[in-house]
Parts: sequence; C-alpha cells; structure tokens
Amino acid sequence: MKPLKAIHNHLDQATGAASLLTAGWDAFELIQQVAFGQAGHDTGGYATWMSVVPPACEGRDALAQAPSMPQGTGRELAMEAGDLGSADEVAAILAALAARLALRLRAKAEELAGTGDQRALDRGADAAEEVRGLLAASG
Amino acid sequence: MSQVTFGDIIQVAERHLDAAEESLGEVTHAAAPVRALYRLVTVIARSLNGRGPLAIEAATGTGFGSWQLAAAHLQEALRQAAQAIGTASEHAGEPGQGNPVRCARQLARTAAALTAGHDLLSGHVALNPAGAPVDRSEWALAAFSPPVTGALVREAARWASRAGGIARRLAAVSGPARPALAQAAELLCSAHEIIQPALAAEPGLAADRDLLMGIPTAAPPERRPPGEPETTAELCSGITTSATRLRSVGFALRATAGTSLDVSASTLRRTAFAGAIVADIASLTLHGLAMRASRLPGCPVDPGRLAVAAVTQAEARNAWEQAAGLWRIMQTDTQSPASTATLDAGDLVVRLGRLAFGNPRWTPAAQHRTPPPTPEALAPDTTELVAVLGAVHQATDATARMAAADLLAIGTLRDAGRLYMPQVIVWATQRAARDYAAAPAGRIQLMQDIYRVITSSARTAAQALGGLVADAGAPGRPLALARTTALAHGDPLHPPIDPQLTLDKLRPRLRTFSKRLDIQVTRKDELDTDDVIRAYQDDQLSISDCALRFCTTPALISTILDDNHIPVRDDRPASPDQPTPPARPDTSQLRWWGPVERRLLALKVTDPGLLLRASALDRASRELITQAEASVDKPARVTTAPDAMTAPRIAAQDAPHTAGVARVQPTGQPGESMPEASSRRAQKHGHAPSRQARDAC
Repeated sequence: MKPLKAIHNHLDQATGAASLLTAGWDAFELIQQVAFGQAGHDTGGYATWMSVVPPACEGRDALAQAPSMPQGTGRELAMEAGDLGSADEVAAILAALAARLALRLRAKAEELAGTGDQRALDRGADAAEEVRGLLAASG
Repeated sequence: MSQVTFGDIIQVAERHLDAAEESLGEVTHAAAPVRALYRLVTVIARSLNGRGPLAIEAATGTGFGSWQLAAAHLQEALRQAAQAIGTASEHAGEPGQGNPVRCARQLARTAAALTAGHDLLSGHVALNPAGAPVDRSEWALAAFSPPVTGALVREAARWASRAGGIARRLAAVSGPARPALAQAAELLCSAHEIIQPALAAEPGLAADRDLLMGIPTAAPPERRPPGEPETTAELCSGITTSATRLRSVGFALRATAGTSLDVSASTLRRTAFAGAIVADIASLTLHGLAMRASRLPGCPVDPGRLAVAAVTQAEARNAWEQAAGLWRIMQTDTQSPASTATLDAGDLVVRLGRLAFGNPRWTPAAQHRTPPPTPEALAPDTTELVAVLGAVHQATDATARMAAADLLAIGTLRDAGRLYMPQVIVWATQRAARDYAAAPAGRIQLMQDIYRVITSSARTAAQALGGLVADAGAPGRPLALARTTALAHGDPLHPPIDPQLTLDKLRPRLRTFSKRLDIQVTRKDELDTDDVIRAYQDDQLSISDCALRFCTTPALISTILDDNHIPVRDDRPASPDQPTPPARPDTSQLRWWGPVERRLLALKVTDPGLLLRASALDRASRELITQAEASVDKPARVTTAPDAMTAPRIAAQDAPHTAGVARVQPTGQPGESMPEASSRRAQKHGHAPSRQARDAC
C-alpha cells in the first residue's frame, strides 16, 4: 500500500522502463480509486469524477501490458490516499499527478521508440492527459 | 436532422394526391392517368402484404384477428380493382394523347411515396441466409404489431377510397374504358364498407395511428458530435440522434458481442459510467421539472409523476454505479476503449448536461462545472418543459436498451471465455495485481445480476417517463407508444426480470467482489437473519441459493434456519424414477383424404409437399362448407374457439419445404416481387399464418 507522496516520489525517481511502468500503474490505480470514492461524496462534481475513472483504468491496463512491466511483485489492489482535502483540492492534486504522469510516460515512450513498450507508454500518456483535462481547473 | 418517419412519407404522398385530384379537371384523355392509377392501386394493395391471411385462409374466416381479415379482404378488393383498371388501360388508348401530364405525374409520385412508405416498414425485417425473418431494428415488433396493422389497414382504406374517387372522375373521360373504370371505382369506394366489421369489433385508437406514423427508418441517423453551442431544440434533437444510434448499436451488439473487438471491458466500462452520469443528470433534471410543473398553470405534465420518475432515475444511477465499480476490476482480452457505443454515449452525456445545466459549453470536465439552474430557467414555459421531458425520456430509454444489450454482451463474453480478473483477487496469491486469471463464474454471475437490476430499474424509469411523454404529447411519443405495444406483445429485447432481484439483495455479494476468494465468506454476525429467512421462505430459494446470495456457506444458512426454528424443505432435485407425463396420442394414422388429395394420389404423386398442400386445400374446403352450412342453418355469427387453428395450418405444421414445390405468391401483381420480409415478419409474431401454411396453400 502506497500513499500519494510515495507514488509521486516513485514517479519522479523512476529512471528505467520497469520502475516507471510500476510507478505509473500505481498512479493510475490511485487516481481511479480516489475518483470513484469522490463521486460518492462530491455530488456537484459527480459527472467529472465518474468520467475520470475510465481513462484511469485504461491507462493502468495499458501499462500492465508493457513487456517491461515487472511480474509477481506481490502488489495489493487497495491504495491509501489519505485525507487529500476538499473536492477541489483533490481534483488539483490528481490533475497535477496526471500531468506529471503524462509527461514522464510520453518522454519515456519517445526514448523507447520502436520497442514493445512504446505503445503501452503512449496509451498510458494519452489516458493521463485525458484525466488531467477532466480535472484541471482551466484548459 | 432527425430520422424520416412513415408519417413524413405519407405527408408527401398526401400532397401529391391532393395535386392529382386538383388536376383532374384538366384531363381530357385518360390513358396516362389510368396507367398511373393502376400503379397507385397496386402499391396500396402491396402495402397490406403480410398483414393478413391468404385469400384461401381468409375464406375459412377462423383463427384470425378482425383486422387481419380486414387486411385480406381489402387487399383482395384492391387486387380486383387493379385488374379492372388494367383492363381499362387497355381500352384507354395510348398515353401520349391529350394533356394529362400533370395528373398522371402526381399520381405516379403518390405511388412512389407510398412505395417508399411500404419499404420503410418492411426495412425493419430481413431474411437470414436460411430464409428466416430476422428483426433489423428494435422497431420491428411495433411495425408488425396488431395495433399498427389495424392503423395501416384503416390508412389503406382511406387511400383506396380516394383512388376510387379519382377512378370515377376518370371514367367520365375514358370512352371505351369507362365500364372497367366504373367497376374499379365501385370496388375501391367499398373500402370503408369492407373494414366496417373490423371497426365494429376493434375500433382502434388514435394512438395506433400515431405509432404507425412515428415509425422511423431502420437505419440509424448519422452521428452528430456536440460542438458549438446549440439551442434547446438543437440539443433535444441531438439527444434524440444519439439515443437512436445507441439503441441501434445495442440492437446490433446482440449478435456480435462474442467476437467483436468493439466489445471489451473498456467499452463496457465507459458505457456503464456514462449510464450512471446520464441517470444522475436525468434525476436532477426531473426534480427541476417537477418543481416547475407544479408552478406552471395549465401544465399538462403531472408534477407528482415527474418526482417519482426522478427517484426511479436515482435508483437506476445507483445500479449503474455498481456496475461501473465492478468494471474497474474485471477485464477482457482486448482493450479497445472507443466504440460506436462509447462515442454516442459520450455525446449523450454532453448534450444532456448542457440541457440540464443550462450551460451551452458544459462538458464533464471540472472547468465547466455549473450549478443546476432554477426550475424557471430550466423550463421557462410549458413548451420547453415538454421538450426537455422528451429529451430525458429519449436518453433514459436509450440507456435502458444499452443495459439490456450489455447484459447480453456479458453473457456472450462469458461463453467466449473473454472475462478476466486480477490474480491477486482470484487466487489469493501474492501475485501482482496486474496479472490476470479467468474470472470465476460467481463473479460473472454477480456482474450479470447487477446488469439485470440496471435493466429493470432503467426500464422502470423509461416506462414512467414514457407514460408522461405519451400523455403530454411530447416529442418521442411514438417511441413511448412502441414500448407500450412491445410490452403488450412480449418484447424479446426486454425479457421479464425477477422482481425480487434488487440492489439491496446484491449488496452482500457486491461487498465481496474485490475480496480474495479465501476471505470473502460472510460471517454469521455479518448476516441479517431476517433477510436469510425471507430469502428461504418468501423467495423460496434453496439453501445453496441462499448461500450464494449471501456469500456464505450452506452450512451457515442451515444453522441460521435451525436457530430460528424454520422448517427445512427438501430441495433435492426430483428423482429420475418419477413417472413421466403420458405422451400425446399418436394421431398419425387418423387421416382423411379429400378430393384434391385423392386426385393427386390417383396421379401417383408422391411428393410429400404436394400431398400436404392438397390435404390443406381439402381441409380448408371442408371447413368452409361446414361454416357455410352452419350460417345457412343459423344466421347468427359462427363462433370458433379463439385458439382454433385453420385447416391449412394444421395440415402444414409438418410440411417439408421441398425445393421442388413451387410457391404460390400470396399477393402481388404480375411482375411484382413479393416483399417476403414483411410477410414472414408478421408470421414470426403470430399475426399471419406460418410460412409452412403459406407454402402448403
């Protein structure tokens, strides 16, 4: 179980494809879990939160298909996001995480052009950008 | 641009016929108009194909609805009239004489429009490679339902009468063709008289005609992605387009889900989340409309029913939300995130949101978040209220259909072994969450049960709104009427659903969906004893079914029943030694040979198809004579059992469809093809004789 800060750190420090894929998987999983939980509480933002979950799941699943994704690391599904604040604050935090994620995945995809990981990383980056677009306070 | 409907085409035909009638005074030579009239009458006759029994079956007069018989008798009159007009045409000279261009042209255009209308209705069914009728759209059931048949026959009678008036006018200027035209006019003008018995028996409703006129083309409209800000009318029209397309996609999905790469966990997840959002927005909007309707003087929409519909929508949203939650975990072998359904569902969400929040640039994105408008802003007047209600109904009905299609798709995905779940859940091993294993049957069953609840609640919501729309005459009334008709005649797309299956009853199982198999058994202190007893006693579930429902062991269920002194039933399956019901008596030896069959036997004919057809003719003749004798003896109406089968049907039940047997075309003129699809579609739904019976005759 990883809290948000650990995921951020992991994402920032990941250098190789395997560690970035793992960090990306964790980030997407956290986003979808937090967004689904928020949909039940933030009634005014129901459509936003519910729209975030599908791309987050798609990004997570795309990274899981990458050839360099490490196998059998004993990961649990449940995440611990902790108290992230108000709905707007949560949206801002997840938007920032998605933006960072998109940037890292896209850069790694360019670096690994022509490999089997590139497609998974690109699809992950697309999904992260969709999440960021949904949660960002301005376009 | 909305879809073309049968009513739109009929309006075009009306305009051309009006013009033809106006130009009759110009006609000095009848040759060309008579030929055009022949075509028109033929087309009217053809529009009744498959709506009634064949002439020989109609002659027996038993086992058919009054409007089916009216269709057969009217079609026969129209055919005879067409023959008379054809004879007149031979005596009316060459079409080039005189100045009849305008009248003939308008009659030809009328016939062309009516042909298009007939094709529109027939287009809702097709024939599969085996020659069996297949519904091509969800309107097929309504298009060939008894109410629509009645409305169509009444419409055909009206057209026949007008054609009769034209024939009468043309007779005056047609010289040697006059007697034949006069005869045709008499036949055509008797149309209303012909349908009188049916009108007396089943007067029909104005709603039946509204339904007929509202039937759209089978092909869905083009997609219209939301772009620039739109007016309320444009938003409502766009919602109708997306809803129509979604229904069409859902209809097509039934056959392709197992193999289509368009169906994946990603697409089902996206549509589930869209379904939840649509239901949420719809609930919010209906609350607003309910408040507005209570303040609008003379509003035709009942605020109380609107409020109830809003609550039903909230229930549908809760169910969609559960399915969406499960799709976060369950996977398929393919991951295509976009499909026609997801695009249309996305369009629907955006336009419904723009309508509901009064923000022409609304999207689900946080930056477009808008507070709900006041009821007055949502629906400034009754017209807008009714329009918004119509749009919400369209969206709700489409998502209800989508849920039913997704339920079927999940079953097909299960059969194809395409559903997966994380290893960490399935096998409780310390494997990575991203490693997948085949989804256990119990989890798939739960997913299906959730979709059953969604289908049920979304359908209830759509029906509630459909009633309001039909009563208020809102846009989409034909859709509401079609649903009512389908409900009355057994909608195959919406099979009955166990009313006992509710979200509350599924909650114990839902709690364990993402738990590992080894820790998912519900403990005794977590179980509601009353719920268990109700499931066992009221719902009559077996102990193992109770265990499945409450995610626990049969032993624990038995303990709870024992603790509460509930007598335990013997739920064991029946013994194979139990006596089986007696078989039906063998009647194969009880044969009766009539004159036609005897003649064929004398000719040494052995073809079973020909012999059965002969048998059918003999039996039909005998029945007709019996009925005629009865009517002579006793002038009162001859009654028959409502489920009585006609002789041709009985004889034809086992008739082989041999290639060597020439089929008799039941209707149509020389050189005119039989629209088999419509005819067989009617047979399929029991409104016309079976195919074998037709072959036999």
